[in-house]
Amino acid sequence: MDVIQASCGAGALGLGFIAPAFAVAGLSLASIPIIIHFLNRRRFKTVRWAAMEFLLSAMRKNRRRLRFEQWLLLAMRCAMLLLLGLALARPMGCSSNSLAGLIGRDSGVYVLVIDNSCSMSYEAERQQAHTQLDQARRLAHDFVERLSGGQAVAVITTANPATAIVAPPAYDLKAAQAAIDRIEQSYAPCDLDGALQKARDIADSDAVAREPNRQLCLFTDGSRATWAAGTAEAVKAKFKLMPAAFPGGITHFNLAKPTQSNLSVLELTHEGKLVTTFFGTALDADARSFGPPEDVQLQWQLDNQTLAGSGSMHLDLARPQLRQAHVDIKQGGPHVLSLTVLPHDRMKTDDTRYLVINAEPSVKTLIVEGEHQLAALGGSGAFLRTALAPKSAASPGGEAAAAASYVAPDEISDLELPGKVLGDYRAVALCDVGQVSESEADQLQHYVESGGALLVFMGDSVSAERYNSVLYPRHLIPGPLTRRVSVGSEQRGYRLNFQPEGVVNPILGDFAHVANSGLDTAQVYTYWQLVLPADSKAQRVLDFASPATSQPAGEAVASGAATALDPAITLHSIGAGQVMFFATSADPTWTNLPAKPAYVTLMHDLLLGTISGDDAWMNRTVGDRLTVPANMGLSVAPTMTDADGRDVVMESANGTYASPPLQKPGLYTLKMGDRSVPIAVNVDAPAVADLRPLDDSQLLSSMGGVGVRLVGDQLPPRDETEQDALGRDMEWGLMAALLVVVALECFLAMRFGHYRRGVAVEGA
Amino acid sequence: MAEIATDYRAYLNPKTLARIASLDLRARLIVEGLMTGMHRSPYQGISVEFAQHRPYVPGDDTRHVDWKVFAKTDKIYLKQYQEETNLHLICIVDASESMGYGTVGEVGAPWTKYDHATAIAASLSYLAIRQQDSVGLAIFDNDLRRYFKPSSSPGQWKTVTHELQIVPRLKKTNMGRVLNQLAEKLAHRSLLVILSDFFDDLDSIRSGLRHLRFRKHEVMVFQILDPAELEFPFQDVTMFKGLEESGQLLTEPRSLRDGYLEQLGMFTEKMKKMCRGMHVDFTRMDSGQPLDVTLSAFLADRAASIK
Repeated sequence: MDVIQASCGAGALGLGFIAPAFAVAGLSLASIPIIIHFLNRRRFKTVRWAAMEFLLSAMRKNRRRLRFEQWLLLAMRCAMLLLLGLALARPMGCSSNSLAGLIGRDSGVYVLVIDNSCSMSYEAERQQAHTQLDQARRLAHDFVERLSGGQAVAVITTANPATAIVAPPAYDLKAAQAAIDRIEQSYAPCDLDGALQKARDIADSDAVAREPNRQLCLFTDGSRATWAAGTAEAVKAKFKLMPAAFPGGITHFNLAKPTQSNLSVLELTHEGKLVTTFFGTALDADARSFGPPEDVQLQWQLDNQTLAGSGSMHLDLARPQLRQAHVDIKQGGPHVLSLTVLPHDRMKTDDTRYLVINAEPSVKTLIVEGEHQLAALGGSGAFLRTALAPKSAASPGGEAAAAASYVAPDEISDLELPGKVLGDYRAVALCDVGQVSESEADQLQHYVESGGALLVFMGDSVSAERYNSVLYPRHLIPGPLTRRVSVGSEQRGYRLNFQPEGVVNPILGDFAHVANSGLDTAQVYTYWQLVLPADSKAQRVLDFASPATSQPAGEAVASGAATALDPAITLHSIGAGQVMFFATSADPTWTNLPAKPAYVTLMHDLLLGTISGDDAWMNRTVGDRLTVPANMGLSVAPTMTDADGRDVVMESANGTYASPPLQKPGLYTLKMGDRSVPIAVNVDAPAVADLRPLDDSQLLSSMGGVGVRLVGDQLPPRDETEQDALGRDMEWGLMAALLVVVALECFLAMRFGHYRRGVAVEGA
Repeated sequence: MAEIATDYRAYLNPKTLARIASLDLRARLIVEGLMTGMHRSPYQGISVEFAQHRPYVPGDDTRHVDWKVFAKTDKIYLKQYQEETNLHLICIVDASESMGYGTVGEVGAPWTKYDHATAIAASLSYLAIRQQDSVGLAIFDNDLRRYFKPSSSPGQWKTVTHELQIVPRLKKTNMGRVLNQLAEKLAHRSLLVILSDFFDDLDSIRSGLRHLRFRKHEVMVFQILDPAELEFPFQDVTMFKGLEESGQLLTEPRSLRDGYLEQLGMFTEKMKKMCRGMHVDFTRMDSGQPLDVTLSAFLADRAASIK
């Protein structure tokens, strides 16, 4: 191709070969007829002939003609092999050359990367194209229309995951156009890195790599969402490899409108992991204007009821303070919260965001008491129960009134554990449980993996050997118990390494900047030392400080020296659930923490910090599958419909029901028998919202500074100079010439050596 | 009778004749085959010559009416023939190397032009002997090798067949000299049947024939050619080695075929023209064709000329 480009112009042929080895082979093979000719002269029949005189006379008379015929046939046979070799070598000539123009044809492989991600749903309102994707399809269709036979097209879409919809490159241009026309709008973010990788794979494939004219054409909206997203560096690095993969050139069709902008609700969350009907929750949102600041109306709705706090807002690029401080949800079950920016802009899909909140009327908690005590507040479980759900004053009838807590504890002995259905509880607390059987441990493991919360408190009954052999292999404790650390009766206990003004674990956030909570002064007389493996992912919520005897009162070792401190409270995940490990007891036998004001809050914080929110599965992003949790207790197969009421087929595997990847945003409905649950499917707004276009220099910078031809949203006129540089493939012209030579050789061979049987010279 | 006729006619095919070693038998079978296919006796007309006219008398055979005379005179006359009891038939057979060429029949034992010539010579001799005519034989190559003056004795037949079978074919041809020699040798007017391929100088042949005609001999020429010489069917690259030291040529026959046939045709035309000019009957024979075709035509021709 360099040869052609360097020498094209003014009608020059500028010949170059795609596979020059064939040309050499053709030259070599052209000698075969000559060799055969000489071999034939050495291999002949001998005939004793009587009428020699006539033969010699005929030879004398026709010598010249015979020689001419023989030479002509030999030349044609040599030419056939030479032409075959040349044709297979695929010579390329300049378009301006008349010979190349006559017998050559355009060749090339074009890889079209078409952005069909969410940002391309922007309604640019062109005359013949409603959205950016419509325009991209139209442009690509027209681009392919300009191509001719001998040129092939591959098509890749960029919506995550990037997909090659026409690959390997197709010479059937109509089929390629049909595939382009069928590209659907996706609401997933743009996977430009993946698309470029696929383009490179196509260019490097055996079938395509031999084609010198390989071109890459991109059709995108030139927005920050596409080019300045999280994978921008990877895209830049990929682009630097593109010129080698596409020597014919790279073109970017920029469909961006200079003034395109977007209002988007990026995030909608509720405070904390748990929402109950006992106390309200705060709602936080992030809505911005990617473009010029705008005054908009924000509409908060809960179950289609507009909430107070809706109203006008000035949005710009900065994150606003959007908060509904307190929202009461009185009824348990799923509720749909939405935040909408009005009026709708030109990309509506992110103007509204949904959040399904599952308000729990109570958090059923199973407290397993390992110590068999009958006295009131006997055992650590009782202390825990009291902290989590203190009973109000007894009614005149003598029975305790209903607990004034969102926690509904159920206290049992460890002997009753095997008979309990753990799935009925949001949390299970093991308090001084000494013996856990293998089956119970399996039950607990399955429970946590399915999303349950397990809190493990130590005590006198705990057997390290048992815990290490039963619970630790199942990751129900974060590390093996090594030794029981105690202080003497005359010694002061260990303090917790807590500083209210220092770095506080978010679970203990309630204690930040709170003086005299007692958390920093509580003493622990006995605890189980636990060694966290080096690769442990367990979170150290709180550690023990050094023994109080060696430290001045009130001081604690800096929490940064974690490896030297024993963990007091840890949190780790198993599957969908979490496990909280408390190295000491929940009652006053090993620590005076229960006497401190911080105790109740601490127990609630530990519980809330361990419980997984159970509405996460009801809030999906476009592209996610919906998996119905196993603890839903399905009695019939669930069914689902999308926001438009169309059925979504649920797939079943190993007793679990899941949907295919959800493609459209909106509010879906999942029916499980007589229960109906809303499912919120939102676009990945942070990845798709920023539609502000990049200017040319920014685009080129995003492309790694490689030479890319930037074009607008229309096909430019064909550049003759560019076409001349591309060269014309003369393969088929030479093949046609070869066929002509073959036909001519056959005809002449027949004509020169025609044998007419039975035509003897007549007698007298 | 029809079956017998079919069997005998089979012996007119050279391929069949080639399997019969005895020339004597070949000749008899040829003649029988001819008789089977002909309505009239082949004897008649071979040696009967017109003598004079006599007036028609009712009851005479109308086959001998001379219609030319009737047309001129309106009077019916019959032709009267003079039996040539002393017809001298001499078969002159070319035994040169070129006559040994043949492609008909089996590869190891082909039917050569010489075989064809000797079969004709023997057949004609047999016919003449049966008619009490005299039969002579001359065998030549570049010289007159064997000559037997005409005789009607019964043993002459055996002599003819015997000599025809044993003469080797090794030498070149010199027909002109041989014919001149014969012309000097022959004492009586004879019917000379020359059997050869005539691959020789035409001028030399011409002088020989002219000498014979000058001596008032009746001459009939049978040019015998092999089917390969007539059709030139060769395809692949071939080295042609000429018989009678005529040279060699390595060539692709397909490209030379048309030219060869043209040359052969020109030679044939010259021969025909030459013979016509000297009132010599010329017949070309294909040694691959059954003999009855040519012999019947010859005999019919003879009968027509007598009329």
